[in-house]
Amino acid sequence: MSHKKLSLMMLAAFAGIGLAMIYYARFFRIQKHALFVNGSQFFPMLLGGMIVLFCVVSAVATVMRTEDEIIVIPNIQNILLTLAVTLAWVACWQYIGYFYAFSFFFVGFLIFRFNPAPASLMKLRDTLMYDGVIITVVYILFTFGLKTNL
Amino acid sequence: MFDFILNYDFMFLLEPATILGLIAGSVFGMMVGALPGLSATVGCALLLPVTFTLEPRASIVMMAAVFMSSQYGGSISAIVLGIPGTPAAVATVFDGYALSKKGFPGKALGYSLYSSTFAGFFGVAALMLLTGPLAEFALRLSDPELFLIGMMGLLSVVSLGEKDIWKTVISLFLGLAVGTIGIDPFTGAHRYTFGNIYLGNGILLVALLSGFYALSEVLEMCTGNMTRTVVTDTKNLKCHISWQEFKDILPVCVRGGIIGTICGIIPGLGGGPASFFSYTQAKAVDREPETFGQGNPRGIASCEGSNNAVVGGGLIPFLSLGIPGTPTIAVMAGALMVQGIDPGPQLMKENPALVYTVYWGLFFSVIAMFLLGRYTTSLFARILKCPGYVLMPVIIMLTLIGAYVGRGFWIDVWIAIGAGVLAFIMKRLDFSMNAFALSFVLADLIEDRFRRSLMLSKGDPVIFFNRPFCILIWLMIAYMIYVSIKNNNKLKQAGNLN
Repeated sequence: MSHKKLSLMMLAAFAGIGLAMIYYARFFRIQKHALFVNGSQFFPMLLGGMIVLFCVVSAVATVMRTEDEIIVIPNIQNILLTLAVTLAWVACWQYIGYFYAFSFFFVGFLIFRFNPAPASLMKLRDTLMYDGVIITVVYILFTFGLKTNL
Repeated sequence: MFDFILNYDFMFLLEPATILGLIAGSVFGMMVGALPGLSATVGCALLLPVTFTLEPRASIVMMAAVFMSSQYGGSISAIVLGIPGTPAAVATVFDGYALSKKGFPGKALGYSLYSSTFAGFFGVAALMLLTGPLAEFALRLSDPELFLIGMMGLLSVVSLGEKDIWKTVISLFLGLAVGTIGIDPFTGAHRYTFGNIYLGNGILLVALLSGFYALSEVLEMCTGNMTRTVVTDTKNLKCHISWQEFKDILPVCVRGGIIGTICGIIPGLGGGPASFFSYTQAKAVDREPETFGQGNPRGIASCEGSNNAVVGGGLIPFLSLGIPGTPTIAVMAGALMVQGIDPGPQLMKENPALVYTVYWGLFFSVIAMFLLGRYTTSLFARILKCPGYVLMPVIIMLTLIGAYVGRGFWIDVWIAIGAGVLAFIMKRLDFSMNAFALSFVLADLIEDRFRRSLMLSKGDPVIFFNRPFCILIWLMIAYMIYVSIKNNNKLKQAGNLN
């Protein structure tokens, strides 16, 4: 997609956030207090207004710009896969527990997937070796050393 | 003025946790510096979970050691491979790699190490001598002045070198806006928490910043070639230079130290611009400017001599005014805030021992960096062989553990992931990550001072204009805007000519 179009979409999203800030600020429980000249909604509303204002200015500047470029994100499938696996790992860690077991699979999967060597026992051995070392170091550092409950 | 020598209990530095933090921070800093793509900011973000369980003194010393060593670490890959390990080492490639290609990588590393060490000490000396007086001065300032100083810090980030000024301004306001989430300290009202009790204390700085810098870096790695393993000859990397050679680069180191310290003090500049300014200046006054880019030792010394001084310089406004001028220092601020410590002029008054520990911790981290660089550089050069597909899961794991360990709230882990994705998109569309992060760190200070000032004046904004120091700060802001516009026009003209 073109840089211009994506920028405009992003600016619209940020302007929406600005407007939402102003809208929701009206519902803050304590609006104003005799002691406080400006209430809890004052600063967020000001910021929301500024965000909207500068999004409009930036949008105008973007539209008026003559040059454009196409944004290419190489290997986007790698990004999506990494994000999906990360989300699954965190969800398992949060709802099931067993941090080290899930981490072992998570780290192992990513190393195996992104290692360009053809699938073989050697590759599996390397993956397990790296995986084992990483998980052991994290265990020694956090659970054993820093007494962190993961 | 010399309380940091006379009234400091040096036994603090001999505590096992502090010594361990110093050594671990130096080793880790050199490692992340040497690895292209990882920077001091990512290194500090990855170490955040470790700092939670340490004493504030040990954790800040560890962070400072990471910051210091990574500056030299960045030059290892710049010299050995021609790939800068950190943005601050980009200019080092010009002469460092050229000298390395001539068959003297050890000499090039030696010039880098000795100039880095000199500049490190220079920055520490500036930190020791300037922080106290500046903090004392800041204590005399009132809320309107402190608000304007905070704004000046943000404005300097906007005016210095981002690609799209409007998007940088938007990033700045977004950072401030995210900072308003949580309970309002003045009225106790919940703001944008949407009934979620975990958001009551606001968004955890550590979660947001570690996701922002470390996870976005992982996504960036995914777009490139993760299989790249750099096989390099790690022989002939013994870095050493003679006394005569050191004397030759000494004047360049002094000038680099001054430039680096000033660039550190100015919020938003940091190591990258400092090394370029220093390189340009060194070339302009050198007796053989034509040899720059062909392996001139003074070219190496000018860059490395400035980027290490940035560390000490950058900590001056942070410790004296509470303004983190670079993303790395913003992450360090996160580590302190989690421990309930607010950097700023009050810190110097209430807990001088902690500030002095930073001074001396940084001083000894320079020594640790020198010893590590002198005797183990070839070992760190071997780390360059570590492939991206092994680094990537490690970075993700450490980042998300850090986000979780901060408060033990799951929402922080999800925020870290969201911040990483947002930063990745923002970077692609020329929004400013640094403006967002720095304004988020400064959000509390700015809102707090802004509203207090208006309370003092009963809502009259004239309070920001009718006080002598306020007028002075406005003049400085006006000057900054003028310089920024002038530079922009210059760049545009140069672009048109090209």
